[in-house]
Amino acid sequence: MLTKRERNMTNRFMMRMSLGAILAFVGLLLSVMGYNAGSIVIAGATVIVLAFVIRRWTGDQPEHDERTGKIWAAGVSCSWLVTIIFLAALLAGGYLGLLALPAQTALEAVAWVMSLSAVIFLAYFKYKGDVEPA
Amino acid sequence: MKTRIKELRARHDLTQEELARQVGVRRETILFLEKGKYNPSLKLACKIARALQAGVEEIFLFDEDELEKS
Repeated sequence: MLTKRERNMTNRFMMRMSLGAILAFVGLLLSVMGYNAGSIVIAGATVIVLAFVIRRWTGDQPEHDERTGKIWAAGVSCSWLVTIIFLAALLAGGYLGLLALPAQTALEAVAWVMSLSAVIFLAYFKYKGDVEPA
Repeated sequence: MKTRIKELRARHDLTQEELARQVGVRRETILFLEKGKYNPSLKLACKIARALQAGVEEIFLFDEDELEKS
């Protein structure tokens, strides 16, 4: 008999696997129909691999608890703040005529800043153990 | 903040994993609590106190200065 937590873990694993399988299937179907959908197949396969990695990494422990929840929330908040400052700098640079980036390049830069700063803040808070001084 | 979690856990012959499972958190959270690096929520503090059969104030120890600062 599975406990509620074990049932939740199994459900989440099955949901990730199903999502991955659906993505891979849709990608394959589109490829057969002649569309360039290789990236969708790769995305599906990645989701399936991630589902196994997360299951192995968490073992029989909960995936999240209050500490990881706080770290996630603080990491994402700090990342958004950095991104807003970066956007303001891009805008100011544009208005002052210091840089004139094409829209595509600016969007890519923003995406990179947001992703990298989130990873850095999450790693820092995980290493520290908490988001506030103990 | 200092905690007596490690001492009380040893007294009850509990591993970090077992205590974590009892209170519903990851093992790393117990580790950071024992090091005094993580301030738990009141709910988690009460769960730990119940699991270790002690009062919250017996487990989590604050200096007067620390309480004054915040």
